[in-house]
Amino acid sequence: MDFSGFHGTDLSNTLSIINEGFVPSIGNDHWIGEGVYFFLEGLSRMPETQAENWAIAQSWDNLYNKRRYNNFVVFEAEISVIDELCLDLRTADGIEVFEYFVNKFVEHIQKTRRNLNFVDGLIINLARNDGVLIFKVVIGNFFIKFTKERIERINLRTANCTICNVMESNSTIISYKVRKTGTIS
Amino acid sequence: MKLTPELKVRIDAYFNSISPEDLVNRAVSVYGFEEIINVPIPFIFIELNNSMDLISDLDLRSFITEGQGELSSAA
Repeated sequence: MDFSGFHGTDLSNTLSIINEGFVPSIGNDHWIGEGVYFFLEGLSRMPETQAENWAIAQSWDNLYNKRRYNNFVVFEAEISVIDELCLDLRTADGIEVFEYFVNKFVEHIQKTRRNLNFVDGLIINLARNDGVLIFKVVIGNFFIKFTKERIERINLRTANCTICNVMESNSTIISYKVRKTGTIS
Repeated sequence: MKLTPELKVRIDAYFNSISPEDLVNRAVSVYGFEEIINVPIPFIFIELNNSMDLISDLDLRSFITEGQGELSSAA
């Protein structure tokens, strides 16, 4: 499948992205694992705006109560991946794979007397990095908090975004370009 | 990606290859899963017919008497 994705970030990252490519988000708090995230057309007709809003929301530093950066950039990337290497959590097929793995995981750890707290991203990292599920891209619909949702403490379960996590950007991102830059007011 | 028979076999083989304890350890140490430590809630089991001295020692008599009136006669 081929599709466009939009990635918003600090404008100062522009040159390094152009010269060296996207830097994967590392850590365990990410929605669907470690990788490079893009907003896709799907639940929203305006993924480019969502990428912009994400860059704006991420600019705010709660600890110091000020902006980390005042200018943003939105990249548009052309992404291509064969269906077999895409865990598509928008589909029954994708959910069936994911649930099968999760259920096996839970059954297994229940044999111990230990309990784990885990989220989608952790399971996806484990399944992929341990070589059990082989995929390069994960796609899903999620509720993501932008500036308004954070300020107003809006926590919905109704998904508002279609996002894509590209785990092997070298082989799946065919091309990318700067789509928009702007100043955060 | 679809749940093909081959994929099921691969998933099953993975879980057969690692012990539950090792999987939990790996999930926590390598992938950052949070382990929930259950702290047991301390409780005292008192067999009323034989343990009134204990109840007295623990100064629970008034609590039991006030809380469950029919037990006061047993004391």
